[in-house]
Amino acid sequence: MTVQLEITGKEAIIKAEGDLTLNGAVELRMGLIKAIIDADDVNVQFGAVNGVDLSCLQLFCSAHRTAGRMNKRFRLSAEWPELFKLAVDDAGYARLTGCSLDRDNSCIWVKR
Amino acid sequence: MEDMIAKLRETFREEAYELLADMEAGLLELEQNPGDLEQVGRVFRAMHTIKGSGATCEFADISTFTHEVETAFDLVRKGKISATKEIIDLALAARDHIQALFDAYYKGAAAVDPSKGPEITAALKKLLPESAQKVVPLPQAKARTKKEGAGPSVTYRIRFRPAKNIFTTGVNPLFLLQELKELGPCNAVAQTEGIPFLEDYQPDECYTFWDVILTTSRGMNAIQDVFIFVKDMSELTVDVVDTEGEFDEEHHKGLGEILLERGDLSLENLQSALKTKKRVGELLVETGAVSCDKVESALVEQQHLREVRERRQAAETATSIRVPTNRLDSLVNLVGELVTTQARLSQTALSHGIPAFVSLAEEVERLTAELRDNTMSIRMLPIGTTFSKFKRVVRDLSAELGKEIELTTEGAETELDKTVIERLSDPLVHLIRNSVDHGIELPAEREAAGKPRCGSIRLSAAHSGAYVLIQIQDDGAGLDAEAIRAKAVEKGMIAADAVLSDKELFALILLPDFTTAKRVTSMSGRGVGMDVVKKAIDALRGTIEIRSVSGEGATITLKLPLTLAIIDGFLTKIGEDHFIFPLSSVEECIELTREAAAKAGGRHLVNVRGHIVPYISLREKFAMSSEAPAIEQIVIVGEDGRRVGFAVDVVVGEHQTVLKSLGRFYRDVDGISGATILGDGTVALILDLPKLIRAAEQEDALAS
Repeated sequence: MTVQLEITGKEAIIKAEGDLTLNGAVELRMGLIKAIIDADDVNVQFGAVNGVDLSCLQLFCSAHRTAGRMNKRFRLSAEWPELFKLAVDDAGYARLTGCSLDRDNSCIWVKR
Repeated sequence: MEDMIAKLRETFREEAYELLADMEAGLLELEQNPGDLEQVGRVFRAMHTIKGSGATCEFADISTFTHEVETAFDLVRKGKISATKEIIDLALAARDHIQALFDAYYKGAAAVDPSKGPEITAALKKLLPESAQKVVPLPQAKARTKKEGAGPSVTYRIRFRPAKNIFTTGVNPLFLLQELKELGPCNAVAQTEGIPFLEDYQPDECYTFWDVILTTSRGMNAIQDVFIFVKDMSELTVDVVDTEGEFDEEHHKGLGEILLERGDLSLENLQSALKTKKRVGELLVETGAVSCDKVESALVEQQHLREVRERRQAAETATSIRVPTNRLDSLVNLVGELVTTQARLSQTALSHGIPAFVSLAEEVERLTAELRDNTMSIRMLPIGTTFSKFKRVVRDLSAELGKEIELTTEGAETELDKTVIERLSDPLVHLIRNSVDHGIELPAEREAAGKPRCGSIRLSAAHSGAYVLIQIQDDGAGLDAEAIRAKAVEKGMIAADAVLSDKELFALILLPDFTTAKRVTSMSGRGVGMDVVKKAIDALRGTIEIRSVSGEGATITLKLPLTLAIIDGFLTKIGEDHFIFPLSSVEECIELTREAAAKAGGRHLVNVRGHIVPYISLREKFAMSSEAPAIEQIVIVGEDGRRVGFAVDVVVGEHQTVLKSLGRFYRDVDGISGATILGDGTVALILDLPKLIRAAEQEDALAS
């Protein structure tokens, strides 16, 4: 997995590509923590994705909760790679409403 | 046992070919839109059913081969490989191989080259990632049949909470969920409450657990089998929530009831929530009695159960059944006999003049007409069933010829008698091949002519009265009128100075042994073909019209009757002989006195409200010796936008006409397309109006 972090003012863009799996989860977690600490608005953008597993989905979920607790914004880009969409559906992560920690109706798994 | 397998195979026959057609259509769509997951699913489902039903029918070679192809295609479905052109080419080759195997059994076709299957699977394996090249062998057919034995359809509620360290054991929980989905309709809802904030998050821990609702007929053991390797490190509960025939179909569980059953909600909390007028789910979440995830999961269960029951009810009240076509043909024949007998009954009733008898005969006539229409409608099929075949023809031939061609279709839902559709397939293939081979130019030639590189062929069908019009329109080079004329003169078909309209000139290509092609390819240009197409269309009582504009393209229009079995006819008499006009062509009838005929000076022309209409004397045409009456009847018909009359002695009226073919000796008589039997047992001949008109025009041309 390749994780690139760009912070401009209060905005952070995390570009993730390759295998979004357990192997790169440590690196992705570090990137997410830094982005949420350093910026108020964190946006994840996907490059070419070769694989997605549950560890990656859980991590994004955790990042969204963490950002919400700090009154910050965390989003996934609107365009999801096919593999990512499949993994979200297979894992039963797609939602109609957000969870109890979704303070501002910004759950990243709600189908909009 | 063998008898049973033979019966199973016969039952599977039609479905097998339908599945192959569906697989082909899906692959061709996928080729156009490689990311279309719906088409990926369509192709996969077709393969999966061929494999499963093939195993049940003990087609071991088909089942094993399809299993290997399906395994490769599953990687496309899972997004692990893309649906590249190579994959689609091989999947199409695999589909053709499966069809050849079916043909060998069902149609007695030549035995299939045994090396073909392994060649395809080997080529497929080369395109797969190394990890996916090993195919798990298919269980033996008998074992599989037993496993899939259709038990009752049961809906299970599964809660699967894997151990936190499941990732480190090498198990991917998503694969387990995918396996569950293969057992039947399945909805999984992830419960994510346990996911911690980032500072406490351990990347190698699993914080998610699942509520799954699954409907399957494979039984509890099949579910337990999915979790067999993780059951010691997971919490797994499986409850039955609905069984076919055992639960009240009318009762739909409320959200609170489901949450209570799951143990996610206490009775006290539910009772206090029900006392308010708010929605139960919203209130329970607001008060913190249940988490959002659990309410969502219960809602999914509620919806799943509703859909399962609706599907079950729809299946129970299914309005369609599969019937062998020979039974349908036999029904149509019987209705034909009934129509003939009913005509005799009506005639007998009228001749006896007993009012009650006449009234009864009229009632039988009404019912027979309804029965006829209903029976004929059963034989109607949408023409689109043959369209997918043409997409493949265009795809393969254009690739072979290095051309870029897009085939578009329109009016696939247009219905035609199944016999017409079956007999139309080959002529249409030939016409489309002609368009690909001779019509559409090579990409470079098209660009030089200022056209887009990609040529287009449009295949359309539409109803027009009692006919269906089928058009094949291309934007290619069009027909070369000069070349056709030169060839026709060279072959002595027309005189060098003959004056012909474009329509007459283009019609020459329908004559036997006519070709202007300078080269012979594997598909056309041999000079046999268009005349064969014409013969086939003639046999369907249809017509062909060709229009073309040089450099812009050609349009071929086929006009075909809706049915070949029973038509509404218009009965007439000449002397003691009966003749039938297709009613749909008849416009009006007028009288022709001997004096009026004499005034025309021997020319067969009649004045109809100021317009001159030519007519054909059928007495003369068929060289009948009887004397014409003082007043003849002219039946005026509309053909190709012209009005032409036919002189007969007496007009009898409308007649339900059961078409019978003429015997071998009379089959080629010009101007007669068939016969029917009247109520009194006499035979009436059915007129082939286009041929009669054409013959009269040719005689006129020769005379002048």
